[in-house]
Formats: sequence, structure tokens, C-alpha cells
Amino acid sequence: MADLFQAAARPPTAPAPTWRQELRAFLTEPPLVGVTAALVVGVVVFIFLPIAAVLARSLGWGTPDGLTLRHFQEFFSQSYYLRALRNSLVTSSAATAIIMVGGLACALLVTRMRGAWTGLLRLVALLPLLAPPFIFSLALIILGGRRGLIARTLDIEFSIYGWTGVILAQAIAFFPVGYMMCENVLSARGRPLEDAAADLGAGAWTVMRTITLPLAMPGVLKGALLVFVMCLADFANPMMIGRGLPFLATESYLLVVGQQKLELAAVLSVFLIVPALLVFVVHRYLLQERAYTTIGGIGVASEERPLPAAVLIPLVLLALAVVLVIVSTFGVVVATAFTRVFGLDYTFTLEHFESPVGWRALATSLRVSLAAGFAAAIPGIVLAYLVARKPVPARGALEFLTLFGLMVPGTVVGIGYILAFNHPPLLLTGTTAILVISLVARYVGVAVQAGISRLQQIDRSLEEASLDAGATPVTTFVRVVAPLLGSAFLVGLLYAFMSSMITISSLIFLIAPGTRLAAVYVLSLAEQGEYGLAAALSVILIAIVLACTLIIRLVARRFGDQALGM
Amino acid sequence: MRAIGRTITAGLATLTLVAGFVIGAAPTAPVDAQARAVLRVYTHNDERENEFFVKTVEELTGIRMEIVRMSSGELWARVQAEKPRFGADVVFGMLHSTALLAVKEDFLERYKAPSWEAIPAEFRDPEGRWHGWSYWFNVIAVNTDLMRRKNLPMPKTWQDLVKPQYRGEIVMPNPGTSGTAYLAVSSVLQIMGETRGWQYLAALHRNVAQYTSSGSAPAEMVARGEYAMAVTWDQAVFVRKDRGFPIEAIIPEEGVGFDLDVVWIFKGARNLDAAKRLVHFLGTPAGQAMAGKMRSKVTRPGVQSLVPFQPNLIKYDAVWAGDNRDRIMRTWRERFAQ
Amino acid sequence: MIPSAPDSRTPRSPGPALELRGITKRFGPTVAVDGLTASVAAGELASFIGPSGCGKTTLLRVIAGFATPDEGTVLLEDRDITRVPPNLRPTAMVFQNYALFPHMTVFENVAYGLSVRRRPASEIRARVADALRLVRLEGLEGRRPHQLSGGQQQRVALARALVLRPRVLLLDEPLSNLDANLRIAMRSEIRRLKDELDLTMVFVTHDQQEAMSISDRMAVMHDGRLVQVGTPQEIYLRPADPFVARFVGQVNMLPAEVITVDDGTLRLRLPDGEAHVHGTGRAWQTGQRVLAVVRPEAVRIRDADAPAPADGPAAGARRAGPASALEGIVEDAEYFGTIVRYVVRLSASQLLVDLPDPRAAVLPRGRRVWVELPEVLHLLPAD
Repeated sequence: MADLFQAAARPPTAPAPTWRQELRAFLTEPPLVGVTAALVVGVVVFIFLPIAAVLARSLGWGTPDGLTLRHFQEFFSQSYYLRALRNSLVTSSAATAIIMVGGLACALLVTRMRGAWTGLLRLVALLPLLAPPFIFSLALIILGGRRGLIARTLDIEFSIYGWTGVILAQAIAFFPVGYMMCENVLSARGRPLEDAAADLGAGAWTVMRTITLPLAMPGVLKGALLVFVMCLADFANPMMIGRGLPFLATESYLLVVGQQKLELAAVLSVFLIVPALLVFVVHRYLLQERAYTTIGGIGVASEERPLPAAVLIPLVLLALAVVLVIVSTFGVVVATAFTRVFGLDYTFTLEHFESPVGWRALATSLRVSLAAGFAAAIPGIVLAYLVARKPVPARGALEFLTLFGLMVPGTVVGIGYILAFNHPPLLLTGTTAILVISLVARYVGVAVQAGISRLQQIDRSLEEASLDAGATPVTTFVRVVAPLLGSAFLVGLLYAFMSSMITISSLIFLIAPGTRLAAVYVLSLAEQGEYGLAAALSVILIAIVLACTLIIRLVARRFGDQALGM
Repeated sequence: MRAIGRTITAGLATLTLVAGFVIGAAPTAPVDAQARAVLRVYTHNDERENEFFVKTVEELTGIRMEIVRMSSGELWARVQAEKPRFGADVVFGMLHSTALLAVKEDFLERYKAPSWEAIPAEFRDPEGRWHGWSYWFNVIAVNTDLMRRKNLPMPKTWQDLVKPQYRGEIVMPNPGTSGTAYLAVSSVLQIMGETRGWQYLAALHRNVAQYTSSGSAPAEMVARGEYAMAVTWDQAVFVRKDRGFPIEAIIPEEGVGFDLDVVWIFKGARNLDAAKRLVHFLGTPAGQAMAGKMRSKVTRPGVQSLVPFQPNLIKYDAVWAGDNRDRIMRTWRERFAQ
Repeated sequence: MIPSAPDSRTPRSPGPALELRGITKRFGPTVAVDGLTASVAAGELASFIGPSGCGKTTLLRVIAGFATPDEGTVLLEDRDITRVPPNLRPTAMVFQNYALFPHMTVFENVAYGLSVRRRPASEIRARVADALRLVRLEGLEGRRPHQLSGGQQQRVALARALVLRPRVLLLDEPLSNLDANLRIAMRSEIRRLKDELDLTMVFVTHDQQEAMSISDRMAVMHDGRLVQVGTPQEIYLRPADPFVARFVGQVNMLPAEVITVDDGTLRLRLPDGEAHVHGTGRAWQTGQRVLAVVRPEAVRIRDADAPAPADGPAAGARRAGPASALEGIVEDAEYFGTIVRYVVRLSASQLLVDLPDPRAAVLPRGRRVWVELPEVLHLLPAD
């Protein structure tokens, strides 16, 4: 997942046609009009409509009372919800800070040092991507509860429940996102400038302080904002390890499932949407790559200078802390899965894997996630092509909507789907389809962005050459563009698949008998203290995600070989 | 005209392609779909119980249960939201008090299963709208190790729990979601009367370290020694004791409330036949034996269950509990939600 | 509904192969092509040249069908193809960056146009083999574009267009990505192909040398309009205006006034003296102010201090003859191997002078020289 939110720096081409010319050109291609219409309807109905429904409901639209600000008044008049707001803001900020510091340290080591260990470090940093985010709460409870491993080993009174636990769990769960953003910013770009600074007499620390970090700052800030929104939207970790304290996402979930207070849940959702939107706008329009970040040039292979000890040692210590926490939480999950009662009876056992309901849920998850992967990647790539290459009217808005699906918290999407698709003619609740569609709505943006950035590397003349040789626009897409977009397709597919396997936030509102998914089941098990079963199912889930990822990567490499001769 | 045709063709092709993947995710019907009916089930049973029930029911009756497990608070909220188009055929495992509410709302299908004749009438609806297949009760769970290490005396009564020395050592489920907690709260109100009952709950609140969403989670926390004491339910403790945790169940001297766990069929059930077969099966000795492997007490006389002794149960008024459910929950939320 | 591949061996219609009538293409407020009319005869290689932004590429894209003109008509062998989409036009284009499909082999690239027309496999094989032979790429069918050199990629791009036997082959700066030697080789290659296949070609370039060496006729464009159309010689020797004169090569533009007219022989007053020349361009009248277009290679230069040969320059300068000699000083000299380019300062202006085949020693700066203007001068009106 490269930087999804970098507004495409479109290279200046021939003078831009006016919208009239574009519209005329658009209407001359009937298949284009048809495909566009179908996709626009899909995007509007399944991304825009549900989120609009949440906003409308928060204002009382569609309720007997009619339009009113009463629900917002209720929110602000109850200190309970204000505390939820505060708790969410505090823990999300803290988790974000931890992630960005640790992420920067790891990314600096990976991008500036050599050796097999950097590869290993990178692997560990990305590991949490494979697991449902809330299993880190489970691991932390086992490790750091009042009588967890740590408290018992050190014989201290120590409790991880509450803010500490939520912050730590989210710091682990969303670490890979922050790390990737840091890595993205640091890789190679500023190297020549660092060399220049060193040449001018700056010491290692000075170079880092005056060149490396300032150059990386806009990118790191972007990453931080993204991570912050993800923490804010996380509802499972606060639910498990938050000691019953209110948090925005958790409360909006409980308001819906526990009390059917959709209006108030919608109000809480607004507080989740607004920061997401802000982040989106900031990302796209305010933090556009500053001019100076590109001056350094790219791809200048300068000699790597190992970081001196003064810089290296603190970085390594930070990275070690990250590795220790991630590896130990994963270790605890695996150990819990394979021992009778972790912490009490360490006999090896496979009994937690005997779970007919769990295996059935896994099968459902796999089916749903694969379907979601393809159903997101295919229209995603086509949308990317339309947005990047075709004179589609309002294509900017179309692209924005696909990204919006990605940014809006899952709980909001889930609530929106309940509001929008619980009555005829769009009665979809209770079906498998609604699960797949909601996942597609959330993850299609990745395929779109991957497609657009790939298309920027492919010269338009290839398509013109195909048209010129007599191929129709459709044939051109199928035979020339699509094969070249293979890598973007796989990125979209892989991301949607992996995320679908481990996400719960939107799905937990939509599951019905027969459509129970593994991640949701794990959460239910963990909530009831069935740690063994929960851990075992998580281990299988992680293994499946890992295996599928590797398989798809392998296929991709082969495919990439053939397609691009790389 | 041709252009319009091609527009529509391209649009439809796109829709079909994407819809193909979406629908492709739906489970393919098994070959013997007719024989192995799929029954859509809502339940508040613990997941560990469900694992066993799903397997056993399928083995013994051929009914394949597809389950969604929720806490009883969530389950009831969902039922109300979905009315009159329920997302399940049956509810297998739910509070007696909500069954009475469901009767009032006329959600339930009538079915007098032959197997239930042998089960005392107090455990079932005279018109066959709900059947109580087992019952469970509140207990206070204690971690014996922790109590000893912290030098805490064993609590004997509900009243003991509000002693200052227990501050921060009690964990309890949230009545907003958990049926276990609602049973405890409504029992306390019945035992002590509303005024004293609420005073007691306020005092208890000062000692409670945290509220959990699930009724079994406090038992797990006490078992692991996170907290010394918990308000929970019988089997949540016994299961963990069997696994070797230093945990004990204490039944307070004032007595505890019990709740009949019921099964009901929704009006408009899609698979009415399988639903009736399940209800019938649960009344048979085999069905009751299955329940008895997971539950302390079952309702058919003479069927073995996990607890041989007769616990100190109050005469729990499920009708009152159902009628006052909304009011009690609202009051609780207003006073104690953090 | 793809038309059967046009075959250049079928008899031609009598009219021009390609005709552009009043083509206008706007992009917002910018007018890229402004009411342009031109035609290309069958079997002709016509090039459109001009500085970047002059509209030549837009024009080519209008011909290929990638841009629809706002006004005007594109006629291909008398058929109006203005609104025919590119894939249905019997034109083929060679792109500046070749636009080879990276995921296809050389064979697949060349076969692509035939394959989308669903030609039988045997025909595709034969025609692709022919095309590859034409561009001398036999044996590379299995390679992918990135395994080829720049020149080879260029040939594949050519073959891919040629295999379709287009009525008009469009070439968009096809040689600009090649190094100098390869570019010269490819020029003759393209001419050879044109003659061998009797193709009609439209060539777009910003390189005047390339255009002159390759074209039958060239059209110089400026700001979306045609400025001059003609053979390379006409354009070079008799440019229609100062812009064309400057665009197609080094030039001295000397302001002058016509003093007398005598049956085609003009007496001109230059800032640095007078000259008797044979003026071309139009009929000139006494008193008219003109610009004399003097190509550097047409000026002769002699060392004023060297021992004078039989008809010494000094004599020539004093003699009132058809050639006019002026006195100056060498200000700078650049040695190019094939020529030496002198900058000569005259009394009031300076003059570029190319001395071909400079085997003799280069004249040093400060040397006094005589420069002699050619006897025939192309004149432009000075306004």
C-alpha cells in the first residue's frame, strides 16, 4: 500500500480540453457510457448513500420527529458521551505518538542500514497487518493483566486495563500503517541532500535533525493523521481492554446493537466522520508534497553511510522495544492456542482447534473475503482507468467517493448499511451479499489508487497506438491496458482480501445466521474469556491470510515477469 | 439506437461481472439441502456451549444450525429492530423474561411439541410459544488464591460485597448488554425491594473495578486472578474450575435469582419444520441430556445435569422482570454508566 | 465494423490522398490549429514542421483521429473521416516514443492490428514476417520491447504501422529519441520504405534538417497556421517570411533599401554599403525597404591582407559588379570540421559567414576580411 492519499501529480500534457469537448467525447463511446453509469450507480448507492444516511439520521431525518438537532443536544448534554469523546481523543493521540516514534526509528534503520536483520525488522514491523486488530488486547490482557505474566513474574500490582491497555493495543495493531508511511517518506529520497549536508560539515545528529527529519516531516505528519483516524475508529480494543470506559466507536456500536438508538449512534458517528474527512482533505490538498521534498531528486544511488553510534543506539533501542512487544504479543497468542490453559497448565494441546463453528466461520470468511477481493479489484481497476484516462464527467468526485469509503470508520459504514439496506427495494440485510458489498465499498479505493498511479507510469500513446491499429476502445482496455495494470489489480485484490479477512468493524452489524465470519467469532470468544479458542482461531486466521498473501505474491511475481519483463 | 443498445450492454455486463463475485460468495447449497435443513438461530448461549450444541444437534437430528450469538441485551434489541421480519427462525437460549415480552408483542409461533408433555408446566408456555429447556442462576465467583494472598474473607451474602475492603476487587457484567447482569440486578431488586435495592447497587458500584459486556467474562477474569470476585453465572465458574483454575462459586445466603433458558419459534420462520423439530428434540430425554452436559439444571425430571444439589434459589418473578426491564435498565444506565 | 485492411496496391483515386480543409482545434481559450488547409498527394512524403507549440502534433492527432477538430474537414481519398474514430481510420501512426506494448513480443506487437481485425493466423504470420523483413528485423520476433535497442524499437514501431498497409502513414517525431548517427540512417530507411511501398506519409518534426532531408514537400507551421508550403529547396532558399527563414537554418537578415531597379537587377543600400544583386521574391520597386535573406554558406570570405590572387578582392570590391563585397573584421570563428563559421563585424552590423571545406588555416580574430554577398538575393518586404 503505497501512499494512497497522495494526489496524483498528473504530468502536464497537451492543453486540457474543455468540459464541453470532454462531454462530447464521452458521449461518443457508448460502452464507456454504459460501464461508467453502472459503476457510478454502484459507488453512489453503496458508498455515498449509507454514509449520507448516517448523517441524515443524526439530524433526525427519517424518524417521526423529523429534522432536529435534538440528538446532538443529547450528546452534548450528557457528560458520558463527552467523556467518550475525551477518552477516544486521548488514547488515539497517545497511540499515534507511540506509533510514529517507533515507526520512524524502524523505518530509519530499514532504509539506512544494510544486512539481513533489517529485512527481519521490516517483517516484524508489518506482522500486525496479518491479524485481527483486537487480538492484541487479548494478548495484552494475558501478558499484562493484574495477574498476567508480567505482574506475576515481577510480583507487582499492575493493571493494563483502561487507557494504558487501549493505547498499547492500538499502538501494536496500527503500527504497520505508521511504519509504512515512514518508510515511504524516508526511502532514498533525501539521501543526496544528507550527503550534501555531511559534505558541508554537519555531524550525524545534525544531519538527522536539520535534514532527514525536516524532509520527512510532512510525510510523517500525513502518516500520523491516518493512524490517528484508524485508532479513533477502532472499537474492539477499547471494548476488550478499556475497563468499560466509554469510547466513541465502542459507544456507537453499543448504542446500535444494545439499544437500537440509531440516532444517537449516528451522532457519535459524525464525530468519527469529521476527523476522517479532515484528514482526507489535509492529506490531499494541504499536505501536497512540498516542493522541497522533491528537489533532492530520486534514484541517485549514493554510497550508504552507516549511521554512527550516537544515532544508531537510540534507534536500535526503540526498534528493539517495538520488536519485543510485537513478537511477544504474537508469541502469547500462539502459545495460548497450543496450551491447555495458558498461565496455568502449559500442556501442549490441539483441543482449541476442535471448533466446528469456528471452522465454518473460517470457510465463510474465506469465501466472503475472496469475493470481496475480486469484486473490489475489478471495478476498482476499471474506475481507475475511467478516472485517469477517460473524459468521464465529474471523475474527481467519483475518485473522492471511492477514497471516502476507505477513510470512513467501519462502524459508520456498518450503521449506514443497516440504515440504508434494511427495507425494500434494497433489502440486503441478512445476506452474504451485503457483507461482500460493504467490504467492496470500503476497500475499492485501494485498487482505484493503485490503478491510477500505475496508469501514470504508462504512456497514453500505448492506448492510442492500439486504437490506431484498429482496436476498439474496449479491445484496447482488455488487451493493452488491463494486462499492464496487472500489478495494480493484485495490490487491490490483496489489500481488499487481507483486510476483509481480519476486519470486524462494519461486518459486526451485518452478520446473520449463516454469515458469521471468523474475525467476528474471535471477538465474541475473546469477550467471553474463551482465550484458548479465540487464540486458536486467530492462529488459523493469521496462517490463512499469510498463506494467501504469499500465494498471490508468487502469482504476481510470475505474472509481473511475463507482463513487464522485469 | 445501436449506441443505446451498446451502452446498456456494457452497463449490464459490468453489473453482472461484479454481481457475479458478490453472489458467488453465498454458500452453495449442499446436495442434500432438503434432508439437512438449515436453521437460522439467535442465541445468548456461550460460544463454548454453541460449539457443542451445533455439533450434537446436527448429529442427532440432522438439523444444521447457523448461529449468531449475542448477549441477551443485544439479542432483544436486534429482535425489536427486525420486527416483523426476523433474521432467524428460532431463538435457542434466551431469558425467560424476554420470552414473556415477546409473547406480549406477539412475535412467537405456537407449537406444542409432544416431547414436552413430560416436563412440568411451570417450565413452558401453556400455548407452546416458549419452552424452558434449562435454568441457570447467578453466583459469586471468587479466586481462592487471590483471596488468601490478599487476606480477604470469603463473602457469604450479597450484602458482604459492599464491604470497603473489597473495593476494586469486584468485576461484574453490564446489565445493558448482559442477561447475567440483568438477572443479578433484578434479583437484588426483588430480594431487597426497589429502594434498598438501588441503594445496595450504588454501594456495590463503588466496589466494582469494571463492567464487562459479557456475563461470562468476569468468571474468566477471576479465574486468571485479575480480580478476586465476580458476579456471574453458575457454569461460567464450574467450567473454569474443571480446567484447574483456583475458582469457587458462592451462592449468597439471601439466595440468587435463576432464569429459565428458553427456546422459541418466530412467527414467519422460514424453516418452520426444522424449528419444530428442534423444539421437540430439546424436550426429549436425548435433547435434555445434551443440555445437561453444559448446564447445571435442566427441566425434564430425571435427566442428569451438572449440578446435583439444589441451590438456594429465590422465587424469581420473571413477569415482573420482563415488565420492568426497560425502566430498570434505563435507571441503571443513568446512575452507573461511567 | 472494421473495414477490410486497405491495400496500397489498389488503384488510387485521382484526388489528393489526404486533404485538410479549414481545420480549427481549440483547447479552451488556446487555438492549437487555426483554420488550416493543406493537402498531401498520393505517394508523397509531406512533413509539418514548426517550433513546439505550433500545433503540428495536434494536427497529426486530428488526422489520426485522436482529436476531433472544432471546425473543418479531414478528407482521406475524398472520404470525409473527420468524425471517424481512430480505430476505424485507414491511417497508421508511428509514435514519438514508439508506444510498443511492453507485455507483448515483437511479433505480437506487429501482429496486433491484424489480430484485432480477426485476420486468419496464416495471413497474420505472413504479413508480420513481410513487415519485419521490410524493416530488417527478421529473427527478433520473440523479443520483448525492453530487450531491443532504440533503433530496433523504432523499426518495430514502423513495422507495426506498415503491416496494416495504411493509406497514410503518420510519423510523430519518430526519430527524436535516436542518437545522431542512427537518426541519419533511419531517414534513408524511411525514404527507402516510402519508395518501395509507394506510401503516402505525413511526418511531423521540429527538426528542420530532418524534414528537409526526408520530405518531398514541407509545410512550416506557426501559431496554428501554415506559413509556407513547398519543396525543401523552396523553403530554404525562398522563405516566405523572416520566421520561416530563421526556422529552417542559420540566416543573415540584412535590412536594405532598393535604390534602383534595372530589369531584375537591383541596387540595394545596406547599412554597410551598397550591393548589386538579382532580387527574387517579387517585383521590387525603387524606394522600397526590404530584408535581404543571406544564408551564411552563400557568402564568400577572403583574407584582406593575404596576397591577392589574379582577380583580387580589392579589385572586386572596387568594381561595380553583380557581386558586392564589403569590408569587415573577424570577430569570432567557430571550427566545426565541415565548415568554419565566422562572425564578421561590418561597419554597422555583423554577418555570419560559413566557409566550407576549411582545409586552410582558420583566420584569427581581428583579421581584416572582405565578404562577398551572392549575386542572387532573396528579398522580403521589411514590415
